[in-house]
Amino acid sequence: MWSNPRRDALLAASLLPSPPPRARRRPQPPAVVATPAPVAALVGINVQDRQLVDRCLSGDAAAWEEVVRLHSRRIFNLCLRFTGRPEDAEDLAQDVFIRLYKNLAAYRAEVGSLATWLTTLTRNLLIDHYRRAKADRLTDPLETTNDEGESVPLPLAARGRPADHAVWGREVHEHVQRALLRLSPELREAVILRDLHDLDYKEIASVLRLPEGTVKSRINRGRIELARLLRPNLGFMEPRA
Amino acid sequence: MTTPLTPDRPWACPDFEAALGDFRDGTLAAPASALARAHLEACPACADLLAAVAQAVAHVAALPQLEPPPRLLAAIFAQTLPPRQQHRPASAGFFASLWASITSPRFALAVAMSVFAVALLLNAAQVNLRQVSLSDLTPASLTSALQRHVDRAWARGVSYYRDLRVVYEIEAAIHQMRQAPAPAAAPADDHDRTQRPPRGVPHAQLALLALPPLPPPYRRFL
Repeated sequence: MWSNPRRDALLAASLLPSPPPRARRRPQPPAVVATPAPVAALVGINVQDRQLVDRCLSGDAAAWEEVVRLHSRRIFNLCLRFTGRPEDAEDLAQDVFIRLYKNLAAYRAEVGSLATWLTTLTRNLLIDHYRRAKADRLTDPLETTNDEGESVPLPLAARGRPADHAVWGREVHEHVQRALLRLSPELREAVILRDLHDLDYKEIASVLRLPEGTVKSRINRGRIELARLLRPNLGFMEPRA
Repeated sequence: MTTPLTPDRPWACPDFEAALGDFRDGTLAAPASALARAHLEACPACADLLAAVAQAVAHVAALPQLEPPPRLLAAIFAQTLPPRQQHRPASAGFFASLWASITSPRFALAVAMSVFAVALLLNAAQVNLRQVSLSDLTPASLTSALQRHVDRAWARGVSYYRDLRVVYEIEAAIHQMRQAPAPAAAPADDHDRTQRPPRGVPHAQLALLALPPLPPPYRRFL
């Protein structure tokens, strides 16, 4: 979906001055032709995104700060829920925005919103990170094995329900986070994008570059697996009446 | 999604699981939806699974959205935005950078270390800064002062070494071994007189007196 000959021809035909040179030893937004996309083809938020990106490309620091402030919270949380580690999430979110800064000129508003494009960028980095960290990945188990080697769920409920509601809430969130980490990365990213970030199937398909049917199937399988992981402790996780 | 639409037979659990997402979303076609409901009524396990999925989805959706740490934004801006100093005029930039260099901790540390090294050298050369004259700073006077200082340090070291009990005991033993073929059998009273140390002489010096003479360069230190 990213290679569209008609769109490329339109972009190649449109010439704008390249952005002025920026600070030395800083990642430079490449001096690629900025894209005055056919505005009639864009709708709603994409027009604003296009204008914001154009301002960034022309060297407007305030515009770049606005981009970072608009999206940093969502990207940080996406990284956090995928990796389960705040320090990794911080590093990854930083990498995402540096990569975005270097590739701003490649943004195509007619293809999708900046948020979707940024999510795709983040997802690619997360998968790279997952592959790199495969060896020392968190293996904190939701299940342990008994003497016979059988799988035994982590007895979260056996510890008793904390009297403090906030403590109970934290334990539940940690348990859900650990369950998410037990999912395969394909299922995890689909569930996080759908159920946590509330993207619709079409947006997720765009981010993951998959057919919608595959996306639906992954979300369904991810939810079922998650439900099976959480089921032993669902009673503990239910709020008191 | 590849939902198994098999209206000619009741659904099994795998059929229901595959269609669970569409069933929850309400996007199943009517015949398939009827089959799913029929399966749910007959299969408590799948009914439980459906309820568990609903709860799991709710728990994931309830995960809090945390604020990114402020240092994250600072790090991003530091690596992307140009530093503000670059907007200053060139002349102001030179003096500002000079002042920044002078007031930096690294510069202060370098100055302190230099002063310390110079003071150490002057002390070793015995240069008194209050009474210093031009002749004290000639290479010859500096060298001779340094030589004196080295000689004195050497003498102190040798003296300390010879005062060590182990050293003089070993040297006394060697001396006695060298004196072994000397004539024996002196009268008892003479023996006592010769072997008894004179009063008031430290033990270490006695051992030194018994040693053979030192080679010329070090003899003057004793």
